Amino acid sequence: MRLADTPTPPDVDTSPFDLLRARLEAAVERPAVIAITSSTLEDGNDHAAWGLACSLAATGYPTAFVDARVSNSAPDEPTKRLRLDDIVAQLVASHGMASFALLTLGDPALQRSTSQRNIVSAFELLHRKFDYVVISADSPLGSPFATALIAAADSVLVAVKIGRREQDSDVTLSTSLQALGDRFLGIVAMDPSVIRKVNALDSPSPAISEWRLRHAERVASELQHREAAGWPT
Amino acid sequence: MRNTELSHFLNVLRRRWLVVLVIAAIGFALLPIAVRLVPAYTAKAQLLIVSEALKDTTLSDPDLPSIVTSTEVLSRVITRLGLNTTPTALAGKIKTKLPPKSSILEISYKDTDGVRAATVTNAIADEATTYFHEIATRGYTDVLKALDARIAESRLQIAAADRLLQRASAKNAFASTDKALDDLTTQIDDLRVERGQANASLAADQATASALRRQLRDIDPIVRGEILQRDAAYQQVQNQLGKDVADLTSERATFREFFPGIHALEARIRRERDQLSSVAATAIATGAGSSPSFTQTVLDADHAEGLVAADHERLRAIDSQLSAEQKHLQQVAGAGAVVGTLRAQRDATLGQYVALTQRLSAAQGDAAQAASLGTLVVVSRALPGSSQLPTWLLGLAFLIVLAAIGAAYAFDAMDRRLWSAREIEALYGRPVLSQVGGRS
Repeated sequence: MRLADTPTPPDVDTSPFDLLRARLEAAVERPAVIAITSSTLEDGNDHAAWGLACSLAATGYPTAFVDARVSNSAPDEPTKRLRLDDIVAQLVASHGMASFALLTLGDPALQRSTSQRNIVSAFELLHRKFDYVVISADSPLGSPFATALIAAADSVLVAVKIGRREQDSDVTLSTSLQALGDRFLGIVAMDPSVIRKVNALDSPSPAISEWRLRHAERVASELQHREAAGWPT
Repeated sequence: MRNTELSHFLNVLRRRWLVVLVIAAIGFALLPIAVRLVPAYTAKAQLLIVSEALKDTTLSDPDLPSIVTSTEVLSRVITRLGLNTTPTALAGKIKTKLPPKSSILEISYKDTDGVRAATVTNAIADEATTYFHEIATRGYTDVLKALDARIAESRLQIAAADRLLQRASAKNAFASTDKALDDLTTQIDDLRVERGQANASLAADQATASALRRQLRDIDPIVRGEILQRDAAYQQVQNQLGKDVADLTSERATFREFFPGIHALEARIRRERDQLSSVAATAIATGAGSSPSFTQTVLDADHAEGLVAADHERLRAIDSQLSAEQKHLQQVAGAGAVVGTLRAQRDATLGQYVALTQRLSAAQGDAAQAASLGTLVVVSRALPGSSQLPTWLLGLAFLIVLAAIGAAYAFDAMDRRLWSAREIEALYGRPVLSQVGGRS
């Protein structure tokens, strides 16, 4: 588990996401949890979520980016000792006036131990602190945790990589998301030429890497402090 | 919206640039072949319409464009030029233009070859003119055809009669003229006259010969006298007999009959008389030639007999010649009858021929008058067609580009990959809120 906050959003080019941000501002009431998922791993939903979160933060909204993809989790993450509501509570409590926060929930153990109710509770906490919580979620077709995240989210977006072949999973995902009604907002089409792998922990992106280095030590310190204070594990 | 479509178009081109390139390359590579196959040469001809229907508002105008492209006209053109096409296909390459209130009908024809375009166009103009003329004179055409047929038949009959006459003349040179027949008749008449003369001469000569034969019989005593007179033995016997007769007479006068010398003398005289008869017979038998009268008469008789024989010979010759001439005349008369019949038939046929040609002239005049009521005249013949290749090439190149783009769209439509927002929206049933990267 990693959680971090920064007084300013990462210095990245958010212009490709400004249109998406503007449409979300118009369509979604704050505070809102926005989940971005996809039917395949390579559709770039983490990039879309990252870019949207950065754009929202750059606009001035207190924003949290939640990387909930299992594939982005690190083996040495010490999240096994924490529960989701605790993590979120710590994030909310420790987060000051920073406009951008980062939270990773990719640990499979964490996801297995998290219930739908935990997620709803976590979202309620996040609503208090952040105008927007942008979640990069796995496909709900193979992940109960992702399904629960999406079910609890205020709005859902699907990232689709342009030029890839249509798959049966697209139809299945589309069918399952239709059940969300208006909460299923729409699609973010991702051009293959711009999709970057965004990993909040180990991203090759210079901006994220820089952000991670600046705050990693602080995050570790925070955890040590909490453990020393006797927070339950 | 327009930007979206343009963006989609550009995206398709970007995605399918290889398809566009291949299709365009194939299309432009085949362009030279297409140039040979597609008619790019146009030839034009103009027909002037001289029609009473155009002047008379009560008459309906003939539908000349339909006549030009009619199956009848185009079939004639195909037959005339030996084209390997159908009237329907040929009609598809023909355009006609008849501006309102104009007397000029323009025919244009497209082909892949400029010279052939002109040839076909001119053939169409000619055949249309002919066909229009036929329509205008259709009522006279049958008459003219019938007259032509009958005139041709008359010519054949005349030629056949000429051949028969020539053959008959070859068999007998005299048969071909009346003068020759007359000459033959005159010759026969002359022979008949000559025969009469010969008969007369024969009769005269026979009469002469007969007279001479009678004369020969009549002059027998004279001849006997002349023979006996010239016979010495007879004369001696006769003289002795005379003397003895005289002696007897004297004896009788002197003596009585009882005188013995008288009887002896009488016996002597009897002997002498017998001897004289015998000598006379011998003299006559052997001395006929010694009689001039007999000789002359015999000569005359022989001459007369010769004349008779000559007359007979001449008469036979004349009869023979006459018989030959009469036979010849009979033959000539028979041949002449045939020739005369043939000549009469030929003259009759010639008369029919003349009458038919007169009727043909009259019918042609009527047809010409009828044709003047509606005539097509070729006023401008087609020259080798000018190529419209540049314009056509541009159009074809445009079509190739369109085909390439169409192929790109077709490939794109068959591709199940999600290329456009439209496809993604159709798949998920939600709008694409934003496209990140690339051309939206």
